[in-house]
Amino acid sequence: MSSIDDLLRHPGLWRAREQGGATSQPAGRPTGYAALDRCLPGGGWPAQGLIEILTDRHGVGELSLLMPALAALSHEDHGDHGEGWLACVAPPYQPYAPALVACGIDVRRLLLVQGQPAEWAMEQALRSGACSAVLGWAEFRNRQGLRRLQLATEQSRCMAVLFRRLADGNEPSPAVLRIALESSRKGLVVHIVKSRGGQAATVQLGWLDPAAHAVAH
Amino acid sequence: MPGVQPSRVTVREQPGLRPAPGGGRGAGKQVRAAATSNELWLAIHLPHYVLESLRRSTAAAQPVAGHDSGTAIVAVDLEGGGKVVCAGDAAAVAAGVTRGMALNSALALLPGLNVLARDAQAERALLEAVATRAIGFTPRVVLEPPDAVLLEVRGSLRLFGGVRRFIAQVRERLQSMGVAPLLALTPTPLASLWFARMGEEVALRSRDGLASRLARLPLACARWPEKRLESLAAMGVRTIGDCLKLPRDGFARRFAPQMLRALDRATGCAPDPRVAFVPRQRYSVRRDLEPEIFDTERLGRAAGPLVDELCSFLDLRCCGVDVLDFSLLHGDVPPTRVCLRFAEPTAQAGRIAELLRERLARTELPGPVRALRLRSGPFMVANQQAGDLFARARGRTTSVPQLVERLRARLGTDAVYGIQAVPEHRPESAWEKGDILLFQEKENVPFFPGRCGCSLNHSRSKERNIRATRAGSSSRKARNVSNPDGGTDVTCGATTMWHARPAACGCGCFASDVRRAAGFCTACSVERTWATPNCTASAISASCAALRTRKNSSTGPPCSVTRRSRSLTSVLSPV
Repeated sequence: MSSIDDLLRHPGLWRAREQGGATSQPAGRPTGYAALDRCLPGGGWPAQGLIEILTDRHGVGELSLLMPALAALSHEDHGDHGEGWLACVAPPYQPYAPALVACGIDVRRLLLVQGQPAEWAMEQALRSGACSAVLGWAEFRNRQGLRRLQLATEQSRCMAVLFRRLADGNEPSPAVLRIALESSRKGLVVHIVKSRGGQAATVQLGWLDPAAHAVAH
Repeated sequence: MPGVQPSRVTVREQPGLRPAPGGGRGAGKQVRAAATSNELWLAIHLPHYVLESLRRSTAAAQPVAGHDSGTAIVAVDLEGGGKVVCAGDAAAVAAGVTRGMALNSALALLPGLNVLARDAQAERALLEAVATRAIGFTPRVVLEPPDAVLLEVRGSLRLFGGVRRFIAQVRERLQSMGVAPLLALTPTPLASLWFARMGEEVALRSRDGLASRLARLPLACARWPEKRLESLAAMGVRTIGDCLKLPRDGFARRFAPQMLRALDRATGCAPDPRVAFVPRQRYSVRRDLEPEIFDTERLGRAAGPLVDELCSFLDLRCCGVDVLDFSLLHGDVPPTRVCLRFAEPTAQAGRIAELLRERLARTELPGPVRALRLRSGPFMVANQQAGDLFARARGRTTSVPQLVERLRARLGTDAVYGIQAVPEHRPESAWEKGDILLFQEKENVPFFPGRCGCSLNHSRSKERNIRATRAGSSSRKARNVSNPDGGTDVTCGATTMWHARPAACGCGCFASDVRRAAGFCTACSVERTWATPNCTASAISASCAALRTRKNSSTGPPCSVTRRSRSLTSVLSPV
């Protein structure tokens, strides 16, 4: 028996069934949506590593989905003015400041970056360690760029979200979590395509109201 | 002729302490009460200053491996006709080239000799650079042109860990600049200088042995006029000690009084006030590149030493710069300017070099670069940030201003910005762009509490508001007036995350979200809502364009307008 225990304690061994286990899985950041939290390993967005959100429509609710977690990050007391920053790299439209404020985000610490190459800007923001979260809209044609980004996220403690097209979901990716978003008559549907340490699932979230789902902070 | 009196006058051991009875007979005897100051002077003598200054100003004299390593270098003085060697490097000296040798003779010895012209400006610049570095050790620095700098170091010895360590640090700092100094430490500036000139690296902390040590120095160390030295030599006076034995009045009469004063000052019998060196207030430096540089990568490396010097210069003054102007000088085309702007005043060489590399990588060179010129903007008080002990553990390496300037260096200044909410009822005007770093100082604008962002047909409501104000009604009445019984209002709830302004459509604004989208089209002066799943940005844009086309052609059905009767008080009340 003891040999099995030793084997199970081996760090190279990954136990798929053990979701959110106290030993193997680090705790995630709460998403603010209980239904989604239940389906994610660690009970929330992964604390480290790249998160990919696949959607073909801007405005489908992709920002609303992230808002509670971002608001919590924005207000985390870092004891240092440099942290708690959010960076948006190459957003397709202007994020709407009044809405962000209403969601509880400190827009004074929202860094907007336009221009190409977006992946370079994302990597810089991640490696600087000055940001708490980096959201990026970038197209990756080769896997190396994506791999670089994943490495940068592993070295930082910042939440990294990459928005890509649904078609890109067919390509392999080093991301820790990949979710596809779809809008239906009943609201937003989240398909968990890939989740390291978790399982593929589909969550019906309904109409999002990030202000009401704000994570207690 | 005043005779030499070797038997009666002895070299004084403590010139400052013994009283001077009756005018004294020897030149070494003091007349006035000696200055009882407690100073210690370090002399930095640069024996190879001519070549070192040329090395600093041109890349040619740099001992580049595989390039000029075998070629000996000599410098000639153009003012003297350029025919006489005034300095030579080790290779030239080893071949037998000496100072004062005719250039033709030197060329006969070494046919492949690299001959450079002396540059008085570069020599002065070298001396100032050495003095500027030295200010890091003591505030009292004195220039001794052409080849020496004096430092008063009594107060600094303890800080730097004693005489030996202090001298070692000074030497190391100077050697990192590419100069090979001779250092001597004595209680008087002139004695230090004389020792250093003679290559005697002494460290005398008290005056006790000063005069006896000085006595052994040859007279050449004082650099008196050649004629005087010749006549002294003819008298058999060859060392400082010999001079000190001569009677004072006769010595002063026969030779110059300045020479007697110099002896007094060297031995500490007379005060030796000096004018302190004041470093420059602005920084501007030019460096010739030889050979010319064609690619920007090598250019970045060539600029490295310039940046290092600038930063040590700034460090001394606890200053930083936020604007740096690099000029790349070409032969015939106008210079290329690379202007670096920093988010905050900085004096970090690494940060400047990184930004410069980034900018140079994007710069097109119209031709080979022959020289680099660096000019600083005005000096500013740099934010001296205390380092974070746990910075590495937390993985934090750069601050946000640094990140911003790095992104701006590559993407452009306008590419990095921030947004801010503005208390305004029109959704398209309820936010503004701005400089992200300036927002930090502002207070966060309190926005409408609760669900916000409601809009109404703002042109109409504005008119009503104005009318109401003119009529002298209260703000409450104005709110009532603005109740849009006949107008339209669209709710863009707090979930509307995007604000887009599609150029093709000409719409004022729209916002979209998963449930519904709302827009206000300034072209058609109507607002519309869109239900899911058509509420994507592109769908709204297309729909608005179609609406406009219909309206212009006035054949299709009128715009569908959503009417809501929601109270708008929260929107219109002034915050």
